[in-house]
Amino acid sequence: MAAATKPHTARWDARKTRSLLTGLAFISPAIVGFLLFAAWPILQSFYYSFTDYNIFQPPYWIGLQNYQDLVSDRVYGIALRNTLYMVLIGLPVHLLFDFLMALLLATRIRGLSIYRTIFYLPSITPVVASTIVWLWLFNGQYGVLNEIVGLFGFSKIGWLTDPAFTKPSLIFMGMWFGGNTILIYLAGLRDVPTSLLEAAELDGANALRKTWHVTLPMISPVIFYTLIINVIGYFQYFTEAWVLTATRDGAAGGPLNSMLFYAMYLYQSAFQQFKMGYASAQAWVLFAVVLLATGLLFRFSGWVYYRSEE
Amino acid sequence: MSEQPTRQWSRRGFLQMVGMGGAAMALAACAVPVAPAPAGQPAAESGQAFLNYWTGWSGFEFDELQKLVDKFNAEHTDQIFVNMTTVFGQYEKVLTAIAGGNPPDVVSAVWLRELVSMAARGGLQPVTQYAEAAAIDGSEYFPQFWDAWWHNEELWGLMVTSNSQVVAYQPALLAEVGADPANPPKSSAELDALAQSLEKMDADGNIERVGLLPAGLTWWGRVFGGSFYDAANQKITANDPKVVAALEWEASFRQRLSPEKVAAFQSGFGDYMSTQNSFFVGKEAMTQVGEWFIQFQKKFAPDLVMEFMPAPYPDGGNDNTTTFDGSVFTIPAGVQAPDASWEFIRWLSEAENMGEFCYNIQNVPPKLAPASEDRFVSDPRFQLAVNLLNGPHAFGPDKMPVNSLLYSRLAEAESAVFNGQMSAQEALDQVASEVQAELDKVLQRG
Repeated sequence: MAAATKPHTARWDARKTRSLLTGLAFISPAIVGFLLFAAWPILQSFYYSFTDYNIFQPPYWIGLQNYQDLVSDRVYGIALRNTLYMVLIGLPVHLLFDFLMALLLATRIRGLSIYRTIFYLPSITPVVASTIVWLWLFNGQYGVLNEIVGLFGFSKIGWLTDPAFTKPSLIFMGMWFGGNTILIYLAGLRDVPTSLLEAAELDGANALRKTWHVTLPMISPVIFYTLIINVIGYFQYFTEAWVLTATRDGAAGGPLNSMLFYAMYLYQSAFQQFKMGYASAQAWVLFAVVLLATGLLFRFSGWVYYRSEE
Repeated sequence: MSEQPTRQWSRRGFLQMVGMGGAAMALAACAVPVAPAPAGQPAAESGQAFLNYWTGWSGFEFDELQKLVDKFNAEHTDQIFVNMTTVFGQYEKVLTAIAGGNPPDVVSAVWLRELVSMAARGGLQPVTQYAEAAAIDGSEYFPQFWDAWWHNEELWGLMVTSNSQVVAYQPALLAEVGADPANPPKSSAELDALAQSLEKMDADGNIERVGLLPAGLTWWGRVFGGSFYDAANQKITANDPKVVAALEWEASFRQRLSPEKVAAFQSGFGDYMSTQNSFFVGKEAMTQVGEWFIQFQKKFAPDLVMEFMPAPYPDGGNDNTTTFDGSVFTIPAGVQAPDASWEFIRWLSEAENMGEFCYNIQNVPPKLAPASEDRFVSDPRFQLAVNLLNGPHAFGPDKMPVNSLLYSRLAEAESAVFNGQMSAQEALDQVASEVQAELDKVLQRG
């Protein structure tokens, strides 16, 4: 038996190896690309985070100095706080708004596809172009928003010039870009079994109770997904704030640095102040923070209901 | 039977193909890149040195420089071909390109204030020997410019344009409020009074016109007699009492008008490089500019009458004060054909070429002879700019490696004080201590 089995196994192994090699050859461009352009730079940046590195000269080992400097860096603290503001306040506001929009767009009314298209349109407009338009909507003197505010008898608001209003303005503007999340919620809403909704209706549930007790639990995995993706995205908040605040000589951050976000300060440290090591340390701290945030979300994800568990 | 060989062939064939493809890519990566000819320009002839030149100029200034580049190319047929690209607003690209080992051959997108920083970090090649060989010894230049390009006994580049700082005003508006346009203010107190009389509000109390909104501490700090760096002791002196006084004075204009209203008013300004410039449309009766603004005015507001005055100064301050910065033509480290790069810089620095470009964009030529030509100084506004730059109170950036941080922290301090968040003293103490800490680090690590 053994003698008969052995050649069989060997033949099988050889074929398996060949097939593995062929498979690897097929995906080799992706593997090589990942190793060269993602894994290697990531590892390098970890090393650089322990060095003083200005890109022109070889890195100089300084141990944990960069990480210690972060603790006492006042501007870094501002950038971190601004970013947390967006994650803790901006993100929930956006997700709630997007969910409500999706609920509206899921109703059966005439011309629904037109509304859906309209709400999705901003998502296919380049962010930079839309942001420039918003720059003018927010304009203190001629902006449409201040015209509207004026109609209600309020004085003009410095949307982008008053530090108290800058971040709320960004959150307000962000609702414009919600098309993708709305689309994901819409898909989730279509998946809510009508039988459950009908059963709730028979039990006398009104629209609010149906949403709370049936729709929300049924699409909770979708909400959880958008939450995770957007938490990561908000920690990397950059483009809109950069476009709104960048000046002719490359400075950015708005009045009193009230729109200076983590990724912007990281960029400034690296490419405007030649501090690659310091920027790498910031990147790794950001990675740790995002990892922690994502981990906590998973740890406390008991509210997410998966139908497959039934 | 027929299937098996086919399958084997295809697997082997595929692997061979991948191998050959990989080898071809590796070969392609090793090949010397042939720079593509930009649209509308002839390709470089074989044997010609092809120079990529990155400039910070844009708009009509870029077009004027392109004319000169075309002239250079025509004069150097079969030898050198220069292809110019603008990196306006993205100077950090220069740094990345140099560090990445693929630098442009010549770059002028380097602010004078960054020159020492880039040179000290090994990002540039010195041009000392080239200059010596070309008998360029500085005698033709304004002395403070020539001095500004040296660091550690090496020359790091040359400027072909330079700028002064002046206050532009519209005589008609001064006359409107009863001031004598021929005798603009000399002292900062007189400037305050004039600016105030020029301010206009609408019925709702919104600003319609300001006299002047002074900003830019590196200039006003000098006008008030202050300094930012003590080179002998390697100390940041941004909290010099005279700089503090300058910032308090700048902020007093916003406090009088209310910072919120000023911010709203400024956010309504049109594009700077256009007919909608706030000065041209009369929203600012006076504005801080340089002699280059003459060309802007000719282009965007040809009928407007505009005059210049030197910065009015307080007791104990400096008269006829200007600061200067500007684009330095440099050769990045690691360039393949530095001789050709130098030839381009040398050629542009010839009095004739420098004069032509400076005249077309109305900048002051850094060489004395072209700057004294009649076509420049027949305009009294230009003569003022030349006098300021050639005077005792023309200040270049301090030669130290953390100017970028100093300038950004000064701008932040201005913003904080303008908004009433901090006192000028607190804000500048903070700048001094934070920038000093960074400077100490850089100096300590060499």
